[in-house]
Amino acid sequence: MISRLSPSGKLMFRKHLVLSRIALDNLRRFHTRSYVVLLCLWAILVPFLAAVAMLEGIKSQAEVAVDAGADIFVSMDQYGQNAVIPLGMIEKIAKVDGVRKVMPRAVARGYFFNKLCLVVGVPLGGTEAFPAIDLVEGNLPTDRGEILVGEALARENHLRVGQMLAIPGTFAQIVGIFTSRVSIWSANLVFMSFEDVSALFHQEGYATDLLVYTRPGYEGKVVEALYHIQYSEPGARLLRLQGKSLVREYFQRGYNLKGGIFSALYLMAFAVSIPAILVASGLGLTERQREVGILKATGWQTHEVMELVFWENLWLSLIAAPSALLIAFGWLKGLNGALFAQFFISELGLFAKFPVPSQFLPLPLVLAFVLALVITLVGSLLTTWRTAIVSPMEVMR
Amino acid sequence: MEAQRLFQQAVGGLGLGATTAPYWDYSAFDPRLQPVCSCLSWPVPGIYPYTPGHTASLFHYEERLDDLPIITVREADVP
Repeated sequence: MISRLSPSGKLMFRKHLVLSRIALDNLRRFHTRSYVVLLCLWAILVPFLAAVAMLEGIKSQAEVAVDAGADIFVSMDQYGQNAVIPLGMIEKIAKVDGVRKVMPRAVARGYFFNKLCLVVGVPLGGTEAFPAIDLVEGNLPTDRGEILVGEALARENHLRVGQMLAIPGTFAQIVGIFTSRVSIWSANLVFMSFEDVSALFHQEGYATDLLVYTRPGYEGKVVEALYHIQYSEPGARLLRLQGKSLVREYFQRGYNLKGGIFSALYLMAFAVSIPAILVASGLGLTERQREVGILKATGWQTHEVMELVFWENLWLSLIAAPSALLIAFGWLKGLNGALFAQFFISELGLFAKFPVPSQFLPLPLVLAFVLALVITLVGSLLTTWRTAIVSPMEVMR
Repeated sequence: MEAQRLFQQAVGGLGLGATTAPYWDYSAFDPRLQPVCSCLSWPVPGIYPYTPGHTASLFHYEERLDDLPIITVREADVP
């Protein structure tokens, strides 16, 4: 490609190349300044990249939670909030054209010693997927009185398979421990039969929601039919219907909104950090000023000095962004987001008891590079320009 | 991914938010279970809920307007 350039073009190209090499040498010569600027950039970029990676990690798990879950979630509406639904509705819903399966589910809050846990009950043997769930150890429950516990809960309370647990009014045996690698929502989960959960919470005959599975393409029609069902009987109460497509739409909007707010806040933090970079890049300023004076005295033009500084910042940003990504990667994958992940996943604690989900994508890396370049350029171009336009004699004096 | 899918199939789809349990309310954990933060109406109805889900989470789920009765001014009384 270079051979196709005109002689003046080749000369220009070589000049840029030489300037970029000088810039790289400058970074080595003023190594203290380079390290300080790099540290500042890491302090800004690493949390940003780690947070975005966590957001993507949780988002990907949530996508599976929507896709693999029921097609329609049905519960009662009670003054604008979800309420339990009588099991008698199962039969009515099952008769609707397009409905493949209706399954009651009980979801409740409980305490395991002093740790909050989520108690979930579904009819055992009612799901085709049961045999393949990943377990740390043990087996799946097959009968009442058998429970599965989440990995974080098991680790924290030193639980093991075979232990008998006293739950109000009865006893239950731990038959298996969920692995939390598959989902953060299984970490503090206690899973048992639907009947056990409804008995435990004295809600026999009621479910927190009914999971409706429809034939492909029937979701909208079933939702419409269920809307009619709720008004068809005298004294009927309002149903709250949440279709998969609607949930997906809201979930995407929710994550994008939160991601957008996070990015906006972070951009503000970036803006605030510019003066810090300005100060950091001003380390050894007297030396730099003298050097600029010498360059100008030996025939360098102002725009060439500016280009040299641009190259220096470009190199710095090229080093800072990928290395920040590596640090963020190590922090999340190696140290499991220690001390940091709790700011983004609520109530996690200093050290997460399960693998913190994260997904590293190329776009945040590009964004980090651009932001690093903008910050360093804003922090250094102005001071350099002020020095470069002054007469060399005055600068060197 | 397949293990995630199987787990979610078994529990019928559970969890959407950036929290491991419904510490203050269900909406931050999974808005399908409870679409609104219960702290909006308790202890003081209407105040901003300073729950972990609202303040220290990567996720926030907007409420669906069509689920609630919408109060408007009668058409004849619109100024």
